Amino acid sequence: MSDLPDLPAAAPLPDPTVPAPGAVPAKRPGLIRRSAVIVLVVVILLFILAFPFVVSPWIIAKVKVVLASQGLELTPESTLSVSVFGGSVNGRNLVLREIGQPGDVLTATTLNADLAVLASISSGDVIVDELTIEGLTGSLRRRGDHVPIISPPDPKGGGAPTDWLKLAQKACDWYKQHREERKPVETKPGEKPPEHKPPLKTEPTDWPKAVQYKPVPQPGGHWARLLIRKLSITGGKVGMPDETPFDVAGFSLIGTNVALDLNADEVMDLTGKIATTGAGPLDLAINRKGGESGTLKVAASQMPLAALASKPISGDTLAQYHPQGDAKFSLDTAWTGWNLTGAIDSVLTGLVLSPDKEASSQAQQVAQAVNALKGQPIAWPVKLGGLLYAPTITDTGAEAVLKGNAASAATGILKDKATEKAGELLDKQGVKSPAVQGATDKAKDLLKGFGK
Amino acid sequence: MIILLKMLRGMLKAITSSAAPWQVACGALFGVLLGFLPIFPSAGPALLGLTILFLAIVINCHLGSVLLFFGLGKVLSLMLVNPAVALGNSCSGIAEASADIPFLHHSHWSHTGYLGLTMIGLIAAPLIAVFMAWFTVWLRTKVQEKLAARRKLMAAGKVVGNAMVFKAVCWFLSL
Repeated sequence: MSDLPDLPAAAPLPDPTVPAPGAVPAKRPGLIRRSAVIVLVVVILLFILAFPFVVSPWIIAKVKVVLASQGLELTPESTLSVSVFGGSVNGRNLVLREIGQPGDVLTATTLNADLAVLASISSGDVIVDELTIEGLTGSLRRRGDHVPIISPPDPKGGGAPTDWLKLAQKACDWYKQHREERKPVETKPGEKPPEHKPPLKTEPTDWPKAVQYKPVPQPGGHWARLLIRKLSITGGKVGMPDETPFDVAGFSLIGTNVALDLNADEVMDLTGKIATTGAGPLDLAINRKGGESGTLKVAASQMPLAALASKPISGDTLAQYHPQGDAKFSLDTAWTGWNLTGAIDSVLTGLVLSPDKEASSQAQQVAQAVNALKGQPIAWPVKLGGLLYAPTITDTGAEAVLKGNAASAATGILKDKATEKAGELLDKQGVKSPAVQGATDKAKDLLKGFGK
Repeated sequence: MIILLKMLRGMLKAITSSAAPWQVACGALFGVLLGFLPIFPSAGPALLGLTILFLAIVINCHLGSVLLFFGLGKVLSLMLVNPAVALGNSCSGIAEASADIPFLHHSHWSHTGYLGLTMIGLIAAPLIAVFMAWFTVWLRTKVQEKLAARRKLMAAGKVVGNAMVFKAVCWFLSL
């Protein structure tokens, strides 16, 4: 036994999980933060304030990345601004160049695009209320082995000139596939649903070794489209890929509901007036209804035949004849679904052929036959048909040229001859008496009038 | 080093604060997720990242833990870029499938780099959250009171030995 006196028992340590007697129990925290609304408002305000410093530069950076992927860049002098809340994109003194290359591809003094933000969100499309571009000029002249924007540099090289016909055919084939894919798919019971297209595999440039899969629109699914409700583009000189009389000297494009894909209730109208450097004025009018039917009209009221005969346009076929005169040309087509009907009406006036001396005897004979018509108007109607993506000539109009025009041309020549002969006769009579001379002149004018 | 120590102190402060253990755990969960998941990378805003940010604001979690673990997660995610890409590439099937699911595609799951980081974050975040919940309860119930009592004794001059270590621990725990 111990001799030590008994000490009082030590007080037990308080249990922190048990509240002390008399203490007010701590209020259990709720699941939702009471100040969440205030915090959210502060965060949203900060987000809004950060827009000019974060979101707008990010959108502009994205535009530049897209341009860079096409080998293009905006010069530092170009001013591009994005107003996210105003839903607009504005540009001043825009200059687009190929990366590391001198010479401008396109320039524009002003660009204003008003986005329909709510309509875009609700429809899932990119809808632009109004797009106005002013002072658009530039040069799409061939540079080495490529044409800027139209056919970007081929990494495989080659340097072969662009095959425009093949390019157009490729575009037509693409559009056909594009329309087919967008058709609503109706699967009947027991029928196999359309095949699911796998996502596109890409390699992100900013993250080496990683892979990014991009969704591919599925047949019958929703495809985001670009719709411009009001379009207005005016501009000056635009050089075409090859130097031809068709180089643009000035142009204006006005349109409403401009889109590649139209909804059933939409009507697209696009009119254009183009002044060329050597091929006269060109007028363009496109009307499309609901993406199912439409019309296309192209008219050239005074196209010099020399412009058509230039080598980059028609090769050696016409160039060897050195034709002179003017052509009044109009293309008028209409389509429903894929079925195309149309006509190309040309009236050649003052056609004179002057083949080279070294030209073949056949060319000389053709020139002799044509020149015998003395430049009388020749109407050449060509009928078009087939399909929108594969138009065909259903009637070359050769028969009409041979029958109708030869006859009218012959009539014209006969009238000319008669006018000439009658004039000579009147001259002979008029010489004898000065009083008769005045009447003779009037009679000659009248005959000339008939000749027309 | 000082920054790291301060961060560690911040973490322990969260534990010794009046916040409930589940609040600390939630804060750690959201913080780690926000650190690893993309929120607004150059490719565009990430829906999942923004949703977690929204939840971190609305749910009554410990915001200090969110910020602390967000910083830790971000530093770790930068260090683990290459393993994340390797992990993402090995799960390319998920990335491919995500491309056709708009929410996941816009959360950048179709990008194997971001997918790898997201997967690391999704694995690490619950583990860290559970650990933080347990650690908070353990520290408060087993350690904090003993340390407080010992500090009182030390103030009365009755404790000797390892005073520096003890002082350091008390500094960390803000006692």
